[in-house]
Amino acid sequence: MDPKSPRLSILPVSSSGKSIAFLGADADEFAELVRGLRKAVGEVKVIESLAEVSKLPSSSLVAVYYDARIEADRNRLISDFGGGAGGPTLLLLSEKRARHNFAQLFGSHVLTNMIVIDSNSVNDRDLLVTVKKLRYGDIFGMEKYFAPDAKAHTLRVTTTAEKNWALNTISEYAGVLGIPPRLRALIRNVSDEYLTNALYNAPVAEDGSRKYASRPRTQPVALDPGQEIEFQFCYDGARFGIAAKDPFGSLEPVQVQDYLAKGFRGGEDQVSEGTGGAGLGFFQILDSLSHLVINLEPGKRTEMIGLLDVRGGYRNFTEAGKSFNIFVRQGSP
Amino acid sequence: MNTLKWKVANANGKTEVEIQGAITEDADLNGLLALEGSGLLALDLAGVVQINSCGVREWIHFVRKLSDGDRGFELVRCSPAIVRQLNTIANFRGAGSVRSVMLPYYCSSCRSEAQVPLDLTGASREIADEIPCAKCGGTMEFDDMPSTYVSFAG
Repeated sequence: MDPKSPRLSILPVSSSGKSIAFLGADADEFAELVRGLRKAVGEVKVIESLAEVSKLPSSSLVAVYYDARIEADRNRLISDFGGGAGGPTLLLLSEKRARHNFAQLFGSHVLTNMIVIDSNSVNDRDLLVTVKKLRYGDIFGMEKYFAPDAKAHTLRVTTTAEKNWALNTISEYAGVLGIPPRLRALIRNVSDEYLTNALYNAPVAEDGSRKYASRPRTQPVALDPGQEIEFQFCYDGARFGIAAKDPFGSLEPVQVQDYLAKGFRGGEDQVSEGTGGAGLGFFQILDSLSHLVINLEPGKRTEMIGLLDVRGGYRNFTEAGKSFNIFVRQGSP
Repeated sequence: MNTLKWKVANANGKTEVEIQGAITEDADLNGLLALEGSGLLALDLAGVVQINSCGVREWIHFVRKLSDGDRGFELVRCSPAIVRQLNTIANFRGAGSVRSVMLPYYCSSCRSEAQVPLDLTGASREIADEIPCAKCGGTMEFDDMPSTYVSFAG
């Protein structure tokens, strides 16, 4: 990519008053992507400078090809979009460059949405799913990331013992599919972190306090009657999907960003002391996935989705970039 | 549920401990701290297949105690799961030295994996791009980022 010719494409959506802006290196290089977006959401209009982002309505989505930005533009993104309050939503598109800046991007709370765009091709499905979720608010469900014929398996988990059963079940399933052992270990690890988070960190008492967050993870817990974690897994021949949905909705985006920033900084505070979690769960999860998606409906439910590219060996997975999304559904009935 | 097992042997003035399984919140590593003897402790980690976030903390506590003690220790035959943590977690090896690692290979024809030891104390730290696949006769390729296996040597 040539970073010398930045252009900004605006995709207004007249029906809702929202708009989607695309900031790339050269609009021609992204013609296919823009066609796909146009098909999904509306018209495309091209503008020329980053400064014009400030003229967009706060309901806009601004998609930026991060790898083509010069350092000054990257810093401007941090200052313009940092803090997380108000203004347009930022969607970073990156092959690998953003990965090197995760500590800063998460630490400044700029990064809530990032999709890998490969130098050879764009993963249309993930990009279009992301854009539609941001625009229309229908955020829950792992099936959005898979073709309709990819069947998801569902387990219900309410206790620590059932967590171990679920981990054994998913490991066995991945083994039957012929997924190589190292990738299977990642699947088990992500599942473990998802279920531990849903059982220990997510449950809140009536006064809003976290019921089991400080409990040692060696001590078993059981959710109250009527509460359960929906644990799903899915495979389509190329990707393995894992999802855990809890009925609490107690996770906050800034918590996730801070834990990830701490993990990627790798400082003395990287591992939390104390009796509860080690504060590394989200870092380990993102490090073990091709795409991490967190769907939140505050006070009602949290869904963690993980997608892992299992087409080749471990190297194929680890050399690729990482996509990340936090979607928050507000004001739902 | 303890997901970790170990086997202890004394040889050449060292205490060699072969560790196998998953390091999780259930891993009680205190038993290793109580091992008798005063010689170097060699932790053979080729059999460690998984470490979760609580397991990382258990391990950090363990190597911190080892580092504070009089007995030296070294990490040998570090599995790819251990190498991954060595590259991403601060102080994962404590005061211990990393003597050797297990290099992962993958055969895309039969989807099998194999691991080959690499001595990090020798002059040559070359990683072969390919090795023959013992299962199907095809070619196995090195299945990770090469730099991550030699960057912490020494």
